[in-house]
Amino acid sequence: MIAQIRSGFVYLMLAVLGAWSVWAQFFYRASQPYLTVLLAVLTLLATALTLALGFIRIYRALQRTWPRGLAQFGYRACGVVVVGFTLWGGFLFSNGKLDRSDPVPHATEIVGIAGGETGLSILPFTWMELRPWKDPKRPERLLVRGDERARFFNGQPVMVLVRRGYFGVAWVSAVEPDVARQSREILKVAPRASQVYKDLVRFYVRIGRMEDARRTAGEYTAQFPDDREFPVQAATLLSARDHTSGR
Amino acid sequence: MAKASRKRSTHFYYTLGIASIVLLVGLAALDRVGRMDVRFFSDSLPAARGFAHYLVGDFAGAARWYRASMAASMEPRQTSSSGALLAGNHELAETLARRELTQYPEAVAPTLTLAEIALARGQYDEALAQTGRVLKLQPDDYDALLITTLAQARRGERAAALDTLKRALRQDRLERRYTVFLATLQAAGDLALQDDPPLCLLAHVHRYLSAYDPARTDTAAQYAQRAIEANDRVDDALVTLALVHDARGRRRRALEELERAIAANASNTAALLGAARVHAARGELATEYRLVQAAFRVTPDDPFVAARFHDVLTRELGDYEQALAMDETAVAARPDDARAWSRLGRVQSHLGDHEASLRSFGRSVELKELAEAREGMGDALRELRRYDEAAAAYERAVKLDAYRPGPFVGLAVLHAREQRYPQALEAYEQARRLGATQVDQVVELCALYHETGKVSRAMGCLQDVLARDPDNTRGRTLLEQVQKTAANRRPA
Repeated sequence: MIAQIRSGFVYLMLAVLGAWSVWAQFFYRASQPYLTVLLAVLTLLATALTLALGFIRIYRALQRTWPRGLAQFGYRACGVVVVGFTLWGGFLFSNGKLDRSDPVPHATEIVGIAGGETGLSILPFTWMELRPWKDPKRPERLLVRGDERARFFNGQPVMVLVRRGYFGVAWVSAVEPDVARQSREILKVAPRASQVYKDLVRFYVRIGRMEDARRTAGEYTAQFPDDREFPVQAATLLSARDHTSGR
Repeated sequence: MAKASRKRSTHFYYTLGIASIVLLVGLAALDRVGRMDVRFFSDSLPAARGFAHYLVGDFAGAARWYRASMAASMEPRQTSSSGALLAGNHELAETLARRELTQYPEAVAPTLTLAEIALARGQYDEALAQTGRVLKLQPDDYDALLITTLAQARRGERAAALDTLKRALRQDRLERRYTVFLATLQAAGDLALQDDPPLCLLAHVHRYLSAYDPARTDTAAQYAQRAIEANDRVDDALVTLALVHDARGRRRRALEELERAIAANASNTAALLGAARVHAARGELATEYRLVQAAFRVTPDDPFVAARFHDVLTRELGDYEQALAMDETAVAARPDDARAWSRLGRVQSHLGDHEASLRSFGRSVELKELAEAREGMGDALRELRRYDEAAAAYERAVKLDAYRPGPFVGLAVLHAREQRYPQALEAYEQARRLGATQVDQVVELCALYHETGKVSRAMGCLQDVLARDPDNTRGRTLLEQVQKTAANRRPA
């Protein structure tokens, strides 16, 4: 009985690993047409099943009934699957964590979000389809965490920051609203919007588009020659970023 | 034996099924009740009866029982008009209110008490006269607006009642008087029983009630839908429907309804501002700007819209020149609006015209003692190097509103300038406790920690700043200095 209870706890531990794998897949997410979304969903299902099996095993052990035949095979298969997904999560984690490459921004647009506005019922995540930026025939799908969901909507222009990955598997480090597009739009109707210029400079610096940042800072200085403070801030910001990127 | 076992098993599954259903229904009921405000629950029998009436949709009955519950819990010999009203003693409340008004003619509470008593007696003209006095002093007083709505609705002035209620609902606060809440609850029941109920008004009344019971959003949506079908203020009904969708996280649906409302009435400021808010939440600043600008063009004399447009121009766009033009228009349209003068002063200050800013803040203070205007005066005087007067203005602002962080920041700057670092530090810390968490202000606090030798606190403070704003140049420079100081202090 003790061995069975111990085995049940092993399944619970496996479920914890499965949960960690889900987390890793959401934080170091790769953009793919289907695979990454499918693997995340399967990991979640396998984790939930393993958790349930762990509890059932402990309960059965207390009842002194042991799984046999197909049930025993099911337990083992589930364990193997979760271990496999944990390795996949570990791979993505290392690929992202050890990565030192600079993010490359891609301007794109959200084509659709699974589950619509209210998401996938009680599930704390969903995925979205993005207008492809590499191959026009190959759609890009990306996992979306619950905390990010409220920021996105269909048709939204976004900037996807893609990094090379330590093992060469490109992954998305951030999806941000396309501040550049929105700012240019607002500057057409309110050309004296100083805050918009400032935010735009900071945005360009953040995504590594230093030339655009310099040009926008220049535009700001031409528009607001009396402001002595922001040009200094912008120059410090630009030189600091140039320094860190080794220029 | 097998048959008996099967029967037992079937019985077990039936029991399990019924228990599950009961559990789910119980959980749903618990969830529904758990979201309601505490005001619906009281440990008295009349309150329990009130709650039962409320649950079955008899709002007028519920209001009566809640009133009875409140009256039973109060000391009968009250010394204030509001207390006497809560105790249900209208005669005493009226006498006390009139006495209070003799002592303080501009007091709001007794005037509202008189308005509520008049409303309860069906003297709607008197109620409106009393709320009119309050609204003259405080144009956005929520309780006065609600009582006005109810009096207008009872007089059959549906359009006016709806317009008044919209003025209350657009504010991000609620009424202060429980008796006004009960009067509104009662009206929700009474108005619904009319032969030709004011559907759109009821939709808005239930929108108000949903602040205390989220389930009322469903009722609001139902009335709004009926109002649309009956062609009763379609644009306003659509706005209510949109807000219900928004509350449920259906932002796209909300936006569609708001667009329909704008198409039905392009000058509906609630729809324009509502759509602007949804676009702002989506980060679409240009659309937000266009919509708020359109609302301002439609109603340039509406202080609420002017304040919103001012906010968009200054906080989001940083377009102070346009804000100056807008605020100048606003003060020209409403020369007695103290807040408009204060906003103008703030913009002039940003544009570096401190003399003009001081004049605007001065005009604002002449009209009404606003803490924000006193704070602005302090800032302007500080820029004009009239430091003693600036300190006096900040201290006056603190007296008017001790929970406002700005004056403490101003005082801290003045203390630091005079090298009174402990006092400066104290003022900054007080400002931070009150919510002065702007990065620039926190950097000043960090600098003071460094200046006063509190190196570890300076280090922690700067790390906090740089976590929030990694590109803050002053913060980074200061951190380097603090690290050097810390290194010099370490024993070799």
